[in-house]
Amino acid sequence: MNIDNLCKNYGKLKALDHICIENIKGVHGLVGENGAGKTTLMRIIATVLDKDDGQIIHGDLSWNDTAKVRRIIGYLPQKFGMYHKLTVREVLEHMAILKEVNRDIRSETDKVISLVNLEDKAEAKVGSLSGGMVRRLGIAQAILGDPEILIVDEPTSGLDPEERMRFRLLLRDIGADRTVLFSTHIIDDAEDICDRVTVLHKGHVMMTGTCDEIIKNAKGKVWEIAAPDPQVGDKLKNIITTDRKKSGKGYIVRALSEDQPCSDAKSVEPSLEEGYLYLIHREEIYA
Amino acid sequence: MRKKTVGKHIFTDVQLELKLLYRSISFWVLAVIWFVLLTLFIISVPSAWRTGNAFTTSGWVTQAMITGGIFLGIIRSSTERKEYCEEIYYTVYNAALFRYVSKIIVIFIMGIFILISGSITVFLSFFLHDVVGAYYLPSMAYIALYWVIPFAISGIMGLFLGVAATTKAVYPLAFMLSIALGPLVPKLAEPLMLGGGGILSQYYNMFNIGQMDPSSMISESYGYCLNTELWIVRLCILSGAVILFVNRAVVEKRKKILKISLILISLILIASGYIGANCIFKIQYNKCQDAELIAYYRENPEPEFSEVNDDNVYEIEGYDIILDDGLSFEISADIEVNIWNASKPMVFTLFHGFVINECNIDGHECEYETQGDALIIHNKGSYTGDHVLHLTYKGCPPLNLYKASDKWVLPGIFAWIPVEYVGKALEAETMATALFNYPAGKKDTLFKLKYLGKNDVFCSLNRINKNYWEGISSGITICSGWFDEKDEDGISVIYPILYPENVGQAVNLMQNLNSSVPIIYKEMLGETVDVSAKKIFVFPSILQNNLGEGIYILNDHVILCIYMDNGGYLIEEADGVPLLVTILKTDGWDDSDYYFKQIFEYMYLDNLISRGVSKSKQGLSFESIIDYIGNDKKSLAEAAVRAYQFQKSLDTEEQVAFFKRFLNLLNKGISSKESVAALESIIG
Repeated sequence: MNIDNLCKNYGKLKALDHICIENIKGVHGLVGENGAGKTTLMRIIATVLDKDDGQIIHGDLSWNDTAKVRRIIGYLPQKFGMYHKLTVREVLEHMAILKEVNRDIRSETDKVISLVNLEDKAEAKVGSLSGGMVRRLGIAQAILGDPEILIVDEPTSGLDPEERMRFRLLLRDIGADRTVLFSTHIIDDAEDICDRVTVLHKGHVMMTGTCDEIIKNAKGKVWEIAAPDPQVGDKLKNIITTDRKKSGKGYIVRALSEDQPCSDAKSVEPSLEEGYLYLIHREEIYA
Repeated sequence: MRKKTVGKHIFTDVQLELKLLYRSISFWVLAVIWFVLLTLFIISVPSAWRTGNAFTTSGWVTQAMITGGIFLGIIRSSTERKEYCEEIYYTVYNAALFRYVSKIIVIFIMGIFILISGSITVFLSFFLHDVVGAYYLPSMAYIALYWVIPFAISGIMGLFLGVAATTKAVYPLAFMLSIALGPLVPKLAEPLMLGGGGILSQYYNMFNIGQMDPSSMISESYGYCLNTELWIVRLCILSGAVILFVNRAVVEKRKKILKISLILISLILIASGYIGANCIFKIQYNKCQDAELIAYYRENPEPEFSEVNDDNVYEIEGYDIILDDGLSFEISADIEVNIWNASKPMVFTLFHGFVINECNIDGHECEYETQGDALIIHNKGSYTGDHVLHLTYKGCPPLNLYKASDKWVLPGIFAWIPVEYVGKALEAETMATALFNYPAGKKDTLFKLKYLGKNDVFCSLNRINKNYWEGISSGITICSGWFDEKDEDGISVIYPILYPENVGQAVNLMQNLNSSVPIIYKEMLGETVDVSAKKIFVFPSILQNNLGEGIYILNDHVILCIYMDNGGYLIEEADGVPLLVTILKTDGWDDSDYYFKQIFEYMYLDNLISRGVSKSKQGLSFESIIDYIGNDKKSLAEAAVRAYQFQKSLDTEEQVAFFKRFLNLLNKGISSKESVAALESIIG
């Protein structure tokens, strides 16, 4: 899938400004702070929103042909719910019919229920499920009918660590044989799941690449400073503090800086999060 | 997508929607409310003055349907948004559309449930209370038009509101909308109407999807107000609501309206507006129109023509009439006239509500003018001898003669066809005393009538084939509505279907009239009359709507406009005041003092009863009328008592002479000031 010069405005606000992402395949992450445009982009790809300009292409298929696109996508929105009064199976059987699942509907729903590990809740009402289970139900309905492209908008936010872990594994499994477009503001999730990542910032694409490529961007820009004062980063110019740990009587502070911020700062290997932060704060660091 | 798949999708969606519905509290709350309403309604049926009134006054049920429908719609359509699954449906091909369509179908299913449960309960109640069979199907139609369709319209409007509005402000808005659409509207609009804002209130009423007048009673002649036009207007509104809601499904979250939806909605608005303007205005605002009519007759005295008094201008020898009904009547009349005097115009009486489109003699256009109900044809061609006067005209009869395109009465006592000039078509001093001027030609004429409409009509003439009649008479009566025809003792009675017992009662009444009417004619008018009519028309509800009580005897038929009691019983001994008024009334009668007329009517009736001529048991006694007059005009009441005692002292022959003198005075027009002296003069 390729996204070319995609634009979306909300009045005067440019939510997406000429977004270009090429060769989206496997599990592709969209990372960015709140308001970066991730959800807008996901909703456009999911055909919920209209684009103002630009193209989205998947093979020969253009996103201008909404009807065909809808036959090849599965979508889990950021805020997902289902009728509280229906059971998990009722919801999925209904969705299977709507998605024109040609195979035996009962076995198809059983398959996805098993995949998301909701077998013991198949006859339970949606209203009785936990938040994580509802997200898993969301994934189950999204993958019904084996869509070529799965769009998952911040599925792990708000989940407890165990559910998050379970979700990561699930998405990794699902992404093995289809394109999964996955947005998150939790960098660990992206690092754990995604083959490639696009960093969005204020409606612009900062970079698209593998996790290593993003990390590579910040190589030589991450510094570790040992100081008795935890606020040391704030006192130095043109640096962005990325981490701060207590060490003995003092602190170890990690920071992003174009140059060595102080004489006792030593260069260290960047993490994906620091690579991401470097991309979105590059201008501040240069200033 | 294949049709089979579409069908399966919609079926699955409807199943899901029904499942969600019966698992929701709101459904059960509404179901309980519905059964409570139905129970209360059923309780009201036997206590209603007439069975149908329970329906015509069921505006409260309709209002509940509208309010319930709109709230149910909002709840059903906002479910996806509240449960955060709306976006999912937008990303599955056609899923949102199917969801929307299923919601519409479920509203219709609920409507059908209301229709079936309501009808079964009502039928059961009718059966237990021995209600006449004619009520059953129309009552079901009433439930459909006044309960179910308003529920469906408001339900779909609610569906639209539920998806279009995302704040809680939608609920007060919906409540206000339900009131605006409901039958309370006319009540709210009444001050506007009374204040002369009739036109405004008529427009306001076009949005009312319930009863136009929730306090009106059922009409025995016309039944429920179930006009085809009302069905069309409401189905148009329903279609508009469906299109608006489906448009929302098609455009999804985009706030725009598709061109096709816009075109369809515009067409629907134009169509319903046109029909509404022609139907609702005309039908539901009789009050307003009636008031204008009464004012018209009070403000426009009869024109004075020197020609009118000249009986030697022309004579009508026959009529060939083509009648077409609809939102108004279109009438073509070929009148065979024998013109004696070419120097004077021919003057006819034709109700001024009819507008002349064509006027020619033997195909040659001729000049004409109208002055009120007078139609003046100028004989510029100086025609004499036998000619055919061709007229086409269009319009609606007044008062309660027209209720809908399939509910109307054109009586022979009303100038709906041009008759030799007899004065105004109506005498309308007040709303309560609006009376026909009984203008039917006094002499017999050959009538031919062809009806082009689609209704089952009843005509006083002899039926030649389905829609063609001929006969010699002094006037034609034709009607369409809740009537039926039945023969009894060789007499054909056209009666309100709600009161089949009227057939026997009307025949008995005619037997009583047979003994009294010839005597009254002979004594007072010096004429002989044949009352052995072959057809009787029973029009009770026309009477109820201010057309005045009367027994109108035409050559070949009789029109009974007399009071019925609460049970629809036609009083068989009703040959009283109404009969006297309709027989003895002449031009001066209407100009005479109201009390003076009453003294004559009740004193002569008292005399007829005492002589065994009349069996009248209807109305007040002479004594009670005198008491009533005495409260206002003591001197007149005292003079009346003296006159009464005087005539009592006379023998029969002298009594007749006394009443003839009295009648002659009355027909000259005795004013209020002259009344006491006039009575004294009769005593001599």
